[in-house]
Parts: sequence; structure tokens; C-alpha cells
Amino acid sequence: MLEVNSLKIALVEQGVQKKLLVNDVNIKIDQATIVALVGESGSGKSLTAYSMLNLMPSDNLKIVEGKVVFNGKDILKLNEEQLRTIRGAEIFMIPQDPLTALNPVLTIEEQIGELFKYHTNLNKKEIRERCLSLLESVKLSNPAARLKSYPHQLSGGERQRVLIAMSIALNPSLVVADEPTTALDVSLQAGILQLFTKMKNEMGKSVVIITHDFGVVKMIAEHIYVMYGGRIVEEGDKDEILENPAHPYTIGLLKSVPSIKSVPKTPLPMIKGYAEKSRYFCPFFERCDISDSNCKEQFEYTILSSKHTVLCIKAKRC
Amino acid sequence: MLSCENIKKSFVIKKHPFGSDIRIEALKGVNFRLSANEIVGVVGESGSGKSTLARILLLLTKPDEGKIFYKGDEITSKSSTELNFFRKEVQAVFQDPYSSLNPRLPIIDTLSEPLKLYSKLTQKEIYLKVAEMLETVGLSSDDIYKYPHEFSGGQRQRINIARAIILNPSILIADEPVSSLDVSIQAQIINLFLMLQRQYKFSMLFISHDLRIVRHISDKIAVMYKGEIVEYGERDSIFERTSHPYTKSLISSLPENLLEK
Repeated sequence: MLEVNSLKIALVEQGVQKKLLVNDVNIKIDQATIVALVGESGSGKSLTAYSMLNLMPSDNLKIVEGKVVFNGKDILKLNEEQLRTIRGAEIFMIPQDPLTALNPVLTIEEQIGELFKYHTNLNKKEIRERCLSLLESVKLSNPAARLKSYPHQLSGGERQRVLIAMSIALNPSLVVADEPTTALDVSLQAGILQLFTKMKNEMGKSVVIITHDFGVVKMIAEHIYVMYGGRIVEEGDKDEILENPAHPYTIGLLKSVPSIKSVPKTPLPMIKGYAEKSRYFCPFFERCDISDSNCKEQFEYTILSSKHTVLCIKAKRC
Repeated sequence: MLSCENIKKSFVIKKHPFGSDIRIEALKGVNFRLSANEIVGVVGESGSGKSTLARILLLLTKPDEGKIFYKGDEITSKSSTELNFFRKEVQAVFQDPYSSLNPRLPIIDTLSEPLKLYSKLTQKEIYLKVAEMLETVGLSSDDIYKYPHEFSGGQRQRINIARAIILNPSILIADEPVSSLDVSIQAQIINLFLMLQRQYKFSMLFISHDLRIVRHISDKIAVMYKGEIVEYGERDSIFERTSHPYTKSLISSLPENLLEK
């Protein structure tokens, strides 16, 4: 349904390309699947997601190469007019922060209603009914009163639900959610994730979920892309990756989260260092425990199985 | 060491021109005790009163009712000069490593401020102490003249921790110190806390909304819900003999447990 092909995004200052933030990224999203994009802040995962709508959060960021093919059309080649019919209606993006994503001076009804106003011919009364049923479908308490509320009167969880309601309003086939549960309490997280699973199972939608929490990935994703330093470093079926992670970054990430079964007060396994631009070929070189001089000069994708690929020349041996 | 009795605190959320204001009760009579050389983890959802409790124990916010004791003395209504010793011995680390450092001060100034206020060290001794502290928290003493913007979030949190323990405090209150960090960095900071606590033997109040992290780091756990401590006890007994329904729902909504259902 959607394919990202050899995407490159660069920081451009005064017409000069400074550095590549997303480098040679390939992603494939089928109908009715949940795909997780995992990585640290600065790994390029949000930029990759933005490119799916041909949006860039800043004027200095430019897509310099690649294609984003959605149902046969290259999104990167469309003009603003054509993009408007796709954004919101066919691909919906739920941005990271549910407070800044909503307009503070519009009521919930006005915000959701806007979608119908621009994309459909419904009249006012029909729009109100649709808004009401959307809020009911995301299980927001007292939806009739909520329509009249402003964003600041809602809690974080409620705002996130409003955004999810908006994301299904026009029945898009793909929903991209950037860290949808990071700002939420654990007890609310589960509810939001169930909504995504429901969207997939009952409405046949695909969801791209951006997260750094493997707990979230475990619960809902089917396919995982792990990003590090602007590249996809590991990709594959969820169970394959969670059970047999092959890239040292994925392995380290999975181990460093304390689980409910770990021994308290013992040092947690950790990845050394900080996410910095690597001076060598392999983006993870400086922080890797198994890297050697070969990793400085080369890297390549190693295909471990039909459902599992990793960007590491040492992966087979570990 | 540090304890409080029947702490109540409410905030006005809407002023009423006539009649009474609309208030929200952040703490509804909280009793809490932190003993020497132990780590107590506080877990709860946002709005449960975790941070308000931390601020009250730090005497940054005045409670409406209730008493706070430090080493046996009541300190609830002491003047700021009388609290000088308390400010030295009780330190804090906050959630946001970006806003908690002064962007205009190089690290040496940020870290030497507490020493200038509370110790009689000379300029040279202060420099050596700061350099040693940076090494202790896993930074390099070469970083001493750098400014906060030159560091990543994880490194800044290390600087905050260095500032908190440079006076060798008896108590450290950490409010969500890892929640704004990347997962790969969280483990580093948790390990640093555990290492420092063993080395310096301070008591620690560790606030987090992540039950897995709280379980990993704490000796005792307090579960807060709607302004009350609904469950408090030894770490393992909280998990083995859970009594309050909210704690049960917290444990069952952990990803590991959700999958087993």
C-alpha cells in the first residue's frame, strides 16, 4: 500500500547540504498491518514518518532523494492541491504532542468538524452527529459535553483520544502515530493501544507507530523497523526480532529495559556512550561492543531469513 | 530521617468571583517516612500527587496542613535561615535535564555554586572537587568549562546528579529523573543512581510512573492514587501480596502481563 524507497533527508542551510539525517531508508507497509518504527531521539524516525505525508517540520529539512509511493502515486511529486486530498483523508498523522497538535482556540467540535467541512459535503447537523459518534467510538466519557470543550479543558489521555477520533474521521487507509503513548500514564496506554488494534482488525487500516518503548511494540506491532543514526539497522517480523535480535543496538535496547522479572538493584545491561554522529561507515560503531576495524570501512545488509534483515557485518556471528 | 504526617495540600484551579473557589485536592492526608540508607520508590499516574509530595518534602511548597520532620525535628514552619542545614543535606534532581541547568553558566560555575554557599573550600579545592565529581558521574573533567547546550540529555542529567551529590547530602529526592531520556540512556542513569547510593549511602526518594523502573531501584515502594498513598511496603511484598485494586491494575497493565492474558 505504501512504500518508502531509498529515502534521503538532509539538513540544508542556505542552499548547502549540511548533513544527512535520514539515509537510504526503505519501508514497506501492507494493508491492515501495524508497523513499528523504533529508535532513539534523533535517529530519523519522526522525519521518515513526516515524509509519508510529504511534510517536513522545518524549512531547513529537505527530502533530497527517494520515493514515497502510496497506492501507485509518488507522494513526493504531488502538488499542494493534490496533497490536500491525501493528507487527513487518506493518510492521517497523529503528531507527538496532543496538546500542541490541537488548536487551543477552537472547540473539539470545531476541530473535528473542520475535517468534514473541507473534505465532505455534509451539513452542520450531520457534521455534529458524526463528531459525536466519533467521540463515542474512542470511548470518551460524556461526549456531548466534550464537543463544547476546549483542548486545555481535557486531560492528556482525552486529547489523545480526540486525535485518534480525528484520525478515523475520514476513513483513511493509513494512520501514522508519532509516540502516541509516551505522554500518557500506563493505565491509559493500554486503552489507546487497544484502539489501534481495533482500527486494524475491524476497519482494515494500517498503522505506523513510532515509539522507543519495546513494551508498546510487543503489544501491538506485527513488523518492526529499528532505526539508528538515520538508517534502518534492523527490520523484520516482530516475533523474530524480539526473540532473536541481531543488531547490537537492538540487542542492547531490549536488554536495558528492566523487566518485572529482573533482579532488583543489580546494574542493568546498558549501551555505552551517547547517540552521536558516527565517524565511520557503521552508524553504531562507537557504541558497539563487538565492532572491529572491518566495521569502519564497510557495512551491508545481512539477510537472516525471509522475514529478518540486519545492517551489520558481524550479525551472523553473534 | 525525613518524614511527614497528615500532609494536605489543595490548589485553586478556578477563582470564583463570589462564593468559594474551585479547588483540587492534590494531597489528602499523606503520611510518609524515608529512613537512612534506603531507596523508596513512589509510583502513580500523573495528577496523583507524586510531584507535590516531593516539593513539600523539599519545603519548596508549603502544605495546608500537616507536619514535616527531619532527623526528629519539626521543620514545617522554620525560617529560611534556620533551614540552611536542611538545604545543604537534602538535594533534588528533576525530570527535565534541559530547564534545570542555567544555560549561561559553564559547568564549573553550576557545580561550584553549592560549594561556595555551604563549604569553606578554596578556589583551587573547589576546582578539584568539581573535576572529581564529573569523573564520578561518568563525564570527563575536560568538560568542566563547557556550557549545558554542548551536552546531550543524558549527559545533562549526569551534571544535575553531580550537583545534587557534590555536598554529600543525606537525602536525594529524584522526581522522574529518567522519564525524558532515551531508553538506551535510562539504564545508564539508573545504574549511576544505584552506584552512587551504594558509595555515598544517602537515602533516596525516587519518583517515576514506570513501575518496572521503580521496582528495579527501590527497597520500598509507595503507590499513590488521587492524592493518597494507597499502598506502601517492602518491594517484593507489594508484588506478591498486592492489596489495593489500583496497584493490581498497575501491575496487570504492564506489557509483560498484558501479553499473558
